[in-house]
Amino acid sequence: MAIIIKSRFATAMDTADALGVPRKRAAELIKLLDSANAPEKKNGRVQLKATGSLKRKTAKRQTRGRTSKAAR
Amino acid sequence: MAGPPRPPDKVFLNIPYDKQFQSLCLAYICGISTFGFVPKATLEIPGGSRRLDRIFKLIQNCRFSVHDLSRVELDKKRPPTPRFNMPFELGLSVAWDRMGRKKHTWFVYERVERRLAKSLSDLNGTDPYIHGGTVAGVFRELCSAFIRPGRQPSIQQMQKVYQDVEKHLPEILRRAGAKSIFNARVFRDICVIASASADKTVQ
Repeated sequence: MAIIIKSRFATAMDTADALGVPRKRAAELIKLLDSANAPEKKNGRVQLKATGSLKRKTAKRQTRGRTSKAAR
Repeated sequence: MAGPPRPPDKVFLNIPYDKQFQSLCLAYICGISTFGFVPKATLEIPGGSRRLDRIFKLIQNCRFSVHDLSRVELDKKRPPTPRFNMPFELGLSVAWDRMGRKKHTWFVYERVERRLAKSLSDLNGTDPYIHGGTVAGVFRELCSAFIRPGRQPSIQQMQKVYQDVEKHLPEILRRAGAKSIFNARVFRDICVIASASADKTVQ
């Protein structure tokens, strides 16, 4: 984890060093930021949030599913 | 052959520490961090040794300084007085730029246009950056001042960093047991979060 933080957040770690923030606290702060922006996980899988367009697509698909093949 | 990576440049932030200025203070920290710089402020100076010596040392260690002279009004608390700290620290920076051995560049920021000519006429001929007292104005004027090779973030990227910091501010304050951002630990934590957000936002 420490290596990932160091490589992805190189400037942030340099900033922490320049300000005298202990590396452990800096890593905690970075994790706080990173976890807030990470996609939600349920049962170990990333859950996709339905956006407006996705919702409309799903609704369309469901409507299509209800009509019989012959009608289409 | 490339040498070891250079540590990020430091920017001395000379701004008023009051509640009305909180959002602009955050804007300065976020904007400066998005450029890849490290904000430094007198907030970090611990008590003990002579304050003036520490302030001058802080300025000497910074490549740039940003001086916001927006607060020229009289303080409401009795006795009503203007605040001289910010113009005084600007004077120290100008002296260091003129006489110091290291390169130092200073920028003056104001809220109101043409007011500097009245409040500090010694600086006639120096164009202040007018932010109009808004967060977007601070971002715009930081972009105007820091024209340099390297990171050139957009206003939108700065706004994203600002939103990230604002979102985590209650947790930062809670962890530090503080009520305002004008606290040494809170200031440093905000700088780290802003820099991390900038690392994610600006490629």
